[in-house]
Amino acid sequence: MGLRSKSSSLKAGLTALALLVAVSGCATPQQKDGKAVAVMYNEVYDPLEPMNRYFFDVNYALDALFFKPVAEIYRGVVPEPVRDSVTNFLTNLSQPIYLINNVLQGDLNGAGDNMGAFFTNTFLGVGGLFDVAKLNTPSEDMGQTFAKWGIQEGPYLVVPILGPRTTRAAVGGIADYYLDPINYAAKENDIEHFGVIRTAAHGLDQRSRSIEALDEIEKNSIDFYAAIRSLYRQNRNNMILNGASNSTQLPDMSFDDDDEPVKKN
Amino acid sequence: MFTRRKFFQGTLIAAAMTVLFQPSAFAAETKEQAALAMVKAIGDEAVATLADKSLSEEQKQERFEKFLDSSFDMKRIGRFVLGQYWRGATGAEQTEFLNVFRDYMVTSYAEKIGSYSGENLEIKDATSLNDKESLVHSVIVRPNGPPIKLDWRVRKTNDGEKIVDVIIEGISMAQTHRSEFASVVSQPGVGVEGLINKLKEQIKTASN
Repeated sequence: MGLRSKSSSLKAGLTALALLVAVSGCATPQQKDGKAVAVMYNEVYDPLEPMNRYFFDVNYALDALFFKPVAEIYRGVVPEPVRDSVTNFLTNLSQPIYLINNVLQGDLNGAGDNMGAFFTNTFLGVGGLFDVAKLNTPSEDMGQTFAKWGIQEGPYLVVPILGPRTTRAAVGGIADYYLDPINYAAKENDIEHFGVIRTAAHGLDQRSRSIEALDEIEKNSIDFYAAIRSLYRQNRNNMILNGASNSTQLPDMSFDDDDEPVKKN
Repeated sequence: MFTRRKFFQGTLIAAAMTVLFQPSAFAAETKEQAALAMVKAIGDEAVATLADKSLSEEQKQERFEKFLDSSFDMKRIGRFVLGQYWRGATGAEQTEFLNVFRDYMVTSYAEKIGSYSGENLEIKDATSLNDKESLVHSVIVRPNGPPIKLDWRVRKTNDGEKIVDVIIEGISMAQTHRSEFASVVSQPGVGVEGLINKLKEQIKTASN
């Protein structure tokens, strides 16, 4: 994951972006019988489902064998304040790319918060180990920026090791890698495999904080894959809206025969 | 000219104010207020139940079931989560699905509620969703990390206010179930009947 093969990867990224736009154009729901079907179609739209289910199983096995046990050991061995500092440090490293995305999304207040958090926590929070600023800056990425620009989410993907992504978010992730000043700073300072280490640290941090939540979802679901797909998509939508009024995207729960849901029978 | 425009504006504002505030002045309670009061009452009751050390686990479970049946519009939620497959199902299937879905909700959520102490739920305010529904906003305050946003979708029904959905950090529980169930029903050879069987299995394994 070096920046060495930059131009060819950039080309690949641009091709992917072009594909994304093309694919999202085709992905209009067929209006079979009415609104409900169209809504459902959008909600479960997953043309690559067989492949996705395969990689979901692969990831699940990898998680059971490796990631989850490591996350459990990490949580068991490393004291909580240290783990919090790891989270803070990783978040602080991400502030520059959050800022860039907030600017691209036209959210200058958000960008200001990123700037404030980055400088405060870097200098007063010992290089970002402590969150002194307490600004609760939500994570921003190119996937969200693309969404703000009106690009459709494209097919749902399960990426090996990394897990669920919309195509838009996957392409956005590549763009983020090349836009992130921290990656260039790491390269300048000859930190090897920085991207991999950062991704791994982030993964470990996230996994160690979601052990119970994921166990619970798995235990209570009758189709774990479908449950995760729905949760991932809703969470992405919420991130794109920055948690702002989600009332407009809530599904309609009125039925034709209102207040008498079981008239049939 | 200028003063006339000003007068015009003044009249307009006065008219708008009349339209805006008149209905609430006459109605005893708006649907948002009713929804807010309902969620608040639930919150208080939950805190009282969970704090009551004299209650056994079974009794708490029983109370939770009662709470689910009385505060949630389970029929509407059940019909919603079956989505487009509701219409295709036979009457018997619909009835059976509603019963099984209710038991599934009990087994899935009873544990979550049981592990929750209740005192850090802060109910904030309510906004209108449409002519029948409101969204009651609350947060779960945590010692570490930002608070979790929890919204209650409350609908005015013939039996009073009922919860039809719970939305955690923008994630709708009803929508999640619908999406999952649709995936199960649409698998070849499964259908609504197969979904009902899967839910029954799930209830059995969870309660063991």
